[in-house]
Amino acid sequence: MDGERIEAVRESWLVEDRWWTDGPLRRRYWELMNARGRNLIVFHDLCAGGWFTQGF
Amino acid sequence: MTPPGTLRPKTPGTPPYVELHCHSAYSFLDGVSLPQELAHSAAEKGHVALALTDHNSLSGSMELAQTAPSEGVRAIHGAEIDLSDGHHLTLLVRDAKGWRNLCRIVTHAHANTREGKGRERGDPSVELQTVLDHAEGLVCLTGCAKHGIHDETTAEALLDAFGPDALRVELQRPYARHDRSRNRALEALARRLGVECVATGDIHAHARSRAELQDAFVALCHRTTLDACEPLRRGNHSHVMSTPQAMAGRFVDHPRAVRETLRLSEQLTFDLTKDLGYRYPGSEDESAPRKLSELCWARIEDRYSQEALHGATGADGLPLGGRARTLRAEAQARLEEELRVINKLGLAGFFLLHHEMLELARDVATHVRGRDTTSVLLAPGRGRGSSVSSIVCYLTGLSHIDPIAGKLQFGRFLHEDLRGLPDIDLDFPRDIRAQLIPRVHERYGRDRAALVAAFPTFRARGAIRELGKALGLPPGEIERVARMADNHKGEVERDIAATLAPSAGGRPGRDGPVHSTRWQWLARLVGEAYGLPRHLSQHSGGMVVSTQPLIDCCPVVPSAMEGRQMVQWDKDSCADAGFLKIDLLGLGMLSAVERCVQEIARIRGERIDLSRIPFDEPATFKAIRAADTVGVFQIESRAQMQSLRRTLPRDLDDLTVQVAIVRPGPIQGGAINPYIERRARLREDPDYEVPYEHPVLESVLESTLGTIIFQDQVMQVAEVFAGFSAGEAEGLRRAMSRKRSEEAMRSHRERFVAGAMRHSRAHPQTAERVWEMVAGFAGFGFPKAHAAAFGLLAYQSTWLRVHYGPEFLCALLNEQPMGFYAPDSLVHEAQRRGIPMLGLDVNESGVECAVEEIEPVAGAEGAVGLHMHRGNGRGHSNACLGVRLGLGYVKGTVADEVRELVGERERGGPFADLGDLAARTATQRPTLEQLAWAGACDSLAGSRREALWQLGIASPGEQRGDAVQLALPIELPDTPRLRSLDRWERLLADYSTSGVTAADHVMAVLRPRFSIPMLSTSAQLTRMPDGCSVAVAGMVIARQRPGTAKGTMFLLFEDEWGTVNLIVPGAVYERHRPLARAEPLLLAHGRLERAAGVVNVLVRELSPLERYVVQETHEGASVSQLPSAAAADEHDEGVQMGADLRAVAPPVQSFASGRRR
Repeated sequence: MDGERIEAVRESWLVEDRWWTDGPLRRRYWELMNARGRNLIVFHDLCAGGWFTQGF
Repeated sequence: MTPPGTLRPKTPGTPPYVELHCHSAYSFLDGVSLPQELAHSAAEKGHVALALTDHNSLSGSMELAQTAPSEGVRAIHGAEIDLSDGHHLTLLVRDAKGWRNLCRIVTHAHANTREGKGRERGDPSVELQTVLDHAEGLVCLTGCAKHGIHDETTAEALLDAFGPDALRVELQRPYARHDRSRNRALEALARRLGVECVATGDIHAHARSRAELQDAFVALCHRTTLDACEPLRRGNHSHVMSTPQAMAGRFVDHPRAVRETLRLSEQLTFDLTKDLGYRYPGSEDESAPRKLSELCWARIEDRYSQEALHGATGADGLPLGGRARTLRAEAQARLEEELRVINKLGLAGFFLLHHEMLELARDVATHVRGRDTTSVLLAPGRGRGSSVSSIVCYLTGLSHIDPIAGKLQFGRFLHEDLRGLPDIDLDFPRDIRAQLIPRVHERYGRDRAALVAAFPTFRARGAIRELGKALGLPPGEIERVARMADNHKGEVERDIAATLAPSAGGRPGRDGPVHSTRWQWLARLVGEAYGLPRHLSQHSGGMVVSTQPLIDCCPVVPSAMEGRQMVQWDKDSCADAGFLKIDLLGLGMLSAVERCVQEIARIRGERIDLSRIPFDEPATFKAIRAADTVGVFQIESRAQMQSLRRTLPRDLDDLTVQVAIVRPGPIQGGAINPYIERRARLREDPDYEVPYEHPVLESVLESTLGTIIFQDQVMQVAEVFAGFSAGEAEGLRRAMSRKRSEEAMRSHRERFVAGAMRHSRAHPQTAERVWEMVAGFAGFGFPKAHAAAFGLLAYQSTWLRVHYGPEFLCALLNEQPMGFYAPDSLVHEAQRRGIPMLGLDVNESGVECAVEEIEPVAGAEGAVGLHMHRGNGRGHSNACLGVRLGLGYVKGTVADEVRELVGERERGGPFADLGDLAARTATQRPTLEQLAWAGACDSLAGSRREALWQLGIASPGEQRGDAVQLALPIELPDTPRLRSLDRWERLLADYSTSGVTAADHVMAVLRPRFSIPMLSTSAQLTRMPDGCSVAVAGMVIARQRPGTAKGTMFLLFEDEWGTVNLIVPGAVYERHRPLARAEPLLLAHGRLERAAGVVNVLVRELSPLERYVVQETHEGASVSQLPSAAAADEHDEGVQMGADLRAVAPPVQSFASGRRR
C-alpha cells in the first residue's frame, strides 16, 4: 500500500449504518501493519465503491 | 423460499458448525424472528441443530421444540442471562435437571422486576451466586462479545461451579473493530482455565430482510431514535443467520472453537417435548373417580326431578310427567357414558379440581357481594366454551346449561381419543374474578399456581407509531398515518400514501413526503414487524396449577397487577407442555347483569332470579326480532342487528344459532346466506325440503339447515362424511384454532377429500365443496355449547333491557368499557326510547351512575332528552325513572377527590354554593374546574362559565393526612355577566369532559346550519323505497372493515333520530380513505337498499359534513348560495367546527380493535 508491503492484518470489521437515510453507509474496514511497523486503516466503500484510507 | 414443513436436501456431510447462541423475537425488542422462522431458516441453510438463547426468557422454547423437528433441526434450549453487575452468561440445557435449574434462574432474574413505581417492568437480572447455585445440568458459555465474562476471577468462579466439562469460553465474531484481539485474549484465558473455547454467532434475525428491523428495535428498546442510538446498535448486519460453512469461515483463526460447537451440541440432548414432570392437583388421586361419581349422582336427582323439570315443555307431544321421565332417563344414560369416558381418560381429578375452583369462587362471591344482597341468587360464575355440553359440568356447577334439554353433544369436549386435556372455561363478573385470581394463588401455593402469558404482537397502528418515532419522522404525521391505517398487513404503504397525499383523493407528487427514504423504510419495517411479539403480558384469565413447584417446569414472573404472577408460556405452549389451564375469564356483561339486578332491588324492591325468568317471553323475543338490542350481550352489533331482522329468532335454540352466525368461521364457510334463505323458505313453506350437500350430512347439519355454523359440526362432518376418527377430528379442530392454522389445515385437506370419497362415496366435487365449508372455520367459530351459554345471556340481558330499561342502561354505563357502543351512543339510544338522562350535578350525582326517581313532568328540572319519542309505549313503569350520570365519568379529575366530595355531601348535606363546596372538601382546583366545565356545578352557579369564574376565587380545603383542613369560607362576589355557552360549545365541553352529551345530539345542533339537497334523516330512510338515491349525514359511531369483507367498509351513522347502516364498496373506500377512516361527521350520497326489513345505504360518495356548515346568521342558506368570499368564511368556520369536534369526538367501534379514537 502506497508502495509499502503489508506485513499483517490486525483487525477487520464491517460498518452498515444510516440505511434509513439518503446516505446509507456500508464499509469494510481493515487495520493493517506495513513493513515499517506503521498501523494503517483502509476501507472499501461497499455502496459507492472505491478504497480509502482513514487516519487513527 | 421453500414452504415450512417441506423436506429439502441437506448439504452433504456433517455441517462444520452448530449455532449455540441465537435470539428470537421472544427476547422482546432484541431479536426479530419467530422460533419457527429461525428453525426454517436454519434448515434451509443446512444446520442440523439450533440453540435458542433469548434474554432471560424461555418464552419461545416450546415453540422451537414443537416446530424444529418438523424442519429436521434439533432444538437445543437455553437462555442468555443478565447478571446484576451488567455481564451476560449463555446457559445451555444439558438434561432435565438443567432445565429445572434454568427455569429457576430465569424466575429469580424476574423476581424483583415489578417493584418500582406503578409496577413498571424493571430489567431482569440475577446475582452470579444464583447461577453458581443452579449449575447442575447446565453448560455455561462465558457470554457475548460485548457483555460476556472476560475476567479471570469470575471465570474461575464459574469453573468451580460448572467444572471443565460444562464451561466454555465463548468466542464471537460480530465484525466489530476489536474482535480479533478480544478473541485472542479469550483463547488465552481458556488455556489458563483449562477449558475449551466455543464459537457462537449471536444471531438475532433469520433472514437479511429483517436485519434493519433489529436496528430499529434497539432504538425502540432505548426509547430513542435511530439517529441517536448509534453506539447502542450492533454496527452491522452480521447477526443474520448464515450457513454453517460461512460461520466456520468467520472463525478461521479458531478452528478448534468451531469443532467444539459440534462436540458440545451432542451433549445437549434435553428434549422439551418429553415429560416435564408436570402433574395437576388431584391427577393422582385414586379415589377421584368415586368422588366425582358420587357428586354427580347425588345431584342428578335434584336437577332432573319432577319439580325441577316443571318447566320442561311438552313440545315433543309427551305429557309433562312423561317428558320429565324421558329427560331423566336420557340424563342418567348420558352421565354413565361421560363418567365412563372420564375414567378411561383418567380425568376425574381434572373435573374435581375445577369443581373445587368453583367452590372457591363461591366463597369469594359471598365475600364480595355480601350474604344479604340480591346477588346471592346469582351463581358465582358460569361456563362457556365446549364444556357447557357436558352433563358432568352441569351437575358439578361448572355449566348452567342443561345439555340434555339443549341437545348438546359432548364429543367436541370429551372423547376417548382425546390427547391432552380438555378445556373448561369459566366466566365471572369482573369484581369476583379480580379477587379469585389471588385466592387461587393462595389456595394452591404461590409457587404452584400462575397465570398463563400472552404475547401482544405488533399490529400496523402500534408499529407505525413506534417505528415512525424511531425513524425520527414528524410526530403529527406519524399519528395521522397511524389513525388512518387499517390493521391489515401489507397495506401500510398505501396508508402512508393516502394520508400524506397533498389532498384527499389526490395523487402524491414525486417529491412529497411519501417518497422520502424514511417513510419508505417505515412501510417496510412495519411489514417486517407485523405479528412479532412486542412484550410479555398476561392471558385474559388462563391459570395453571401444579402439584410441584411450577418453576421447575417453566419460569414464573410477576405480572403487572399486584398479587399476580404468570408463567413465561402462552396458551399454546402450555397446551403443548400438557399443562392444565383453567380459564377464569372476566365477562363485563355478567358484571352488568349483576349490577342491574342490584339496582332493580334498590329502586323497586324486586328480587330478580335470572335463572327463573320466563325464557319464552313474547315481549323479549319481539324486541330481539326487531333488533331492538342496543347494549345487550352479543346481539347488539351492527352486523347482528341486520341478521336478527332476517333470521327472526323465536326461541333459545334460534338464539344459540344467532350468536354463532356472525363469526368469521360461518362467514368464510359461506353459511350465513344459505341459512337465512332456508329459514325464510321454511317460514313461508313448512314443507320446504332443506338441501344437503350429501345425504349423510343431514344427521349433523339438520339444526342449522344444512350449513356449518358451530365448530363441533366441523368435527361431526369430518367423522360422518370423511370417516375421521374422533381423535383425527379433534386434530382438525385444533388445527383450526392454532395461530399456524392455514398451514396445518392444508395438511388435513387431502385426507378429508379422499376420506369423503371412500367413506361416503362422495363425488370429488362434493367432497371439495364440503371441505370448503369446513376450511372456512379456520377463521373462528363457536362450539354449539358455547353459543348456547352466550345465547342464554343474550336473552337474559334483553329481558332486563325490555323490562328494566333505566337500570340496565345504568349498569352498562357503570361497567364501561364493554360492548359495541360508546356510552354516548347508549345514552342517545335510551333517550330515544324515552328513558330520561339526568345531567351531572355535584349536589345529585354519585361517583357512579345511578337510577333516580323523578317527577313525571320533570323534564324541565334536570331531566334531559325527554323531548324525543316521549311515551313510545315501552316501559310504562319506567316513566318516573331516569339515569343520573356519575361524577366519575368526568375525565381529568382525581378519583379520590371525587369520592371524597360525594362522601362529604352525603355526610354534611348539599352544598349551598361553590364557596361552600370548595371549603368543605379537599377537592383541588383542577378537579373542580373539570367538574364545572362538565356542567356539574350549574345548579350552584347558574352556568359553566360562571362556575369557572367563581372557582377562581373560592379556595379549596387541603388534605392533611387523613383529615381535611377546611378552608375559610369566602363569600363570593357577584359574578359579572358572562355569555352562556351556546349549544355547540356545550356539546364540545360535554365531549371533552365526560365523553357523553345528554342534552343535544350533534346532528340536532348542526342540522339547522346546513341545507343539503335530498338530505334524509335516519327516520325518513325507513320509509323510502328500495333503489332511490339518498343523501344522509351523521356522526360515525362504528367503522368496520373486516378481513372477510374483501375491502368493503361498513359504517354506522348516528343522527338525532337513530342509526343508519352504510356499505362503502372497496373502490369508494379507496377513493375516500382518509374520510372513511377518521372523519367523525360525514355526508354520504348513495343508493338505498331495502331487503327483508333491513335498510342500507350503498355509498357512492363521501364528504366531510363540515364543508356544508354555514354561520347561524345565514340559517337556511347553503354554501353555494353565498358570495364566494362569504362562502370561504363560512367554509373556514365549518372547518374549525370539524376540527373542534375531531379533537373530542367519542371513540368509534372499530373491527377487531374495540373502541378507539
